[in-house]
Amino acid sequence: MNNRKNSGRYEKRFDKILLIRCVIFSVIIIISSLFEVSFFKVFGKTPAVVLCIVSAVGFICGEKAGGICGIVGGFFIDAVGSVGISISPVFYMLMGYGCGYLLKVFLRQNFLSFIIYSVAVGVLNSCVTLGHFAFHTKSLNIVQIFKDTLLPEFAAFMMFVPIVYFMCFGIDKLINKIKK
Amino acid sequence: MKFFKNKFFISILCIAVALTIFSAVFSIMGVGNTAKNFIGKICAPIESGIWKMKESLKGYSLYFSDMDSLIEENKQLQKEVDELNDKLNDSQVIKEENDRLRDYISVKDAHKDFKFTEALIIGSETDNYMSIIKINKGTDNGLKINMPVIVSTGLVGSICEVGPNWANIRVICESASSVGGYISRNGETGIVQGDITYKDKGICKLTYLDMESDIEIGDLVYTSGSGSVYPGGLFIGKVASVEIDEYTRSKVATVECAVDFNKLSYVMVITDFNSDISEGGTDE
Repeated sequence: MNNRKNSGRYEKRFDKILLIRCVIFSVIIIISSLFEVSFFKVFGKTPAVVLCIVSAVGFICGEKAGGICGIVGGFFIDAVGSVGISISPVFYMLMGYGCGYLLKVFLRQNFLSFIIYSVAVGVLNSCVTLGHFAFHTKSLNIVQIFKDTLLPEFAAFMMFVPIVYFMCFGIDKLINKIKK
Repeated sequence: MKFFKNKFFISILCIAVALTIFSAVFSIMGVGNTAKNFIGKICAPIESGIWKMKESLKGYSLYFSDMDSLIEENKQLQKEVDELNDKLNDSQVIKEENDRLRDYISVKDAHKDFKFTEALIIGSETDNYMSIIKINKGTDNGLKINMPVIVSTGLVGSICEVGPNWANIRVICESASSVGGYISRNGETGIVQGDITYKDKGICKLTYLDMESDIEIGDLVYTSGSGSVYPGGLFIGKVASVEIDEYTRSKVATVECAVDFNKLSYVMVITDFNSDISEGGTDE
């Protein structure tokens, strides 16, 4: 399980395997963002599937891949599904990079750790949504926002965590197999 | 901290911040974002296809309500069921198109001075804090910002952002939206504004009403035509409740929107109207 840790998992230079991972996951992110805009509505809210994928890429492939896919994901989700000012490129990049970095510091690479990290990402995403509400609305009824928007949004986000984790894990395994 | 001294982290952070700032600056200036327009132009047809696929999948949920009998029946009647499904889908598509065209004609007849462009809904917002609908037409079809959007049942909202072949519509329940409205029974005027508390329920607030104004539950609210964004006479909804605002010493009514924003498939964008003909009036 920790083969990459033993063999110097965190690349110090930009190499081919990182490029392949970034390209493949970026394509998945772009396709997911189109589905996120046009297809998904869970508990009445749009789940942040792309954010989930970015976190999983950072967790499985390292902070560099997570950061790059975060920029791609944040920029694309802004382009197709956002209105006005949005900090998605920065936020998604920080989540993707942070996930890979935290893995180096104290988390172990397993599904439970990813769940824990996803809860933190989900909470931060809800904070960003709350910030948008504060910026765009005159009166801020936090209890109402929490009940109607933040809680369903968080629940919808967490629903996709297992699916996304195992999908990204499988794809990364496939890439490693092809590379060998 | 080593985290912030990492060259790779600093470089991608700079790239992300630059992308965010450029997007924000373009948004504040009201100038079209080239990258967003380019991506939107390519993705709009794909989003349209995905939306259609989602709509068609809705009908199939009925076939999974009784799995045991379907499995048994499936062995003997699979071909016949598939043929019937195909015919049903074809007739459903034709029926929906028929209903849509009938609605289009009814709106055209009711507002002969309006010029319309019909558009298909291809998506919605991803941020969950705004009620935005995305359509598959844009500047290439003559659409501009602030053009009103309606369906046969009533007012949907107005265009807040537009690209070459896509546009975003801000619905009237959205807190940033406001429309001049009047009560058809007696001509009382006010401002119909979105409210975050009621946004998800499809309810707006009718504000700036005098304390002496005569408003009752069930009164019909139409656009007044003031402000030149929305033509007069478009149906907004019905008054659901009337309250007194102690702070402003005025009445506030909640208006239940006539349009169900969750069930929209097509909308009509009013590209031109004669504001002189479309002035509001009472129905006395």
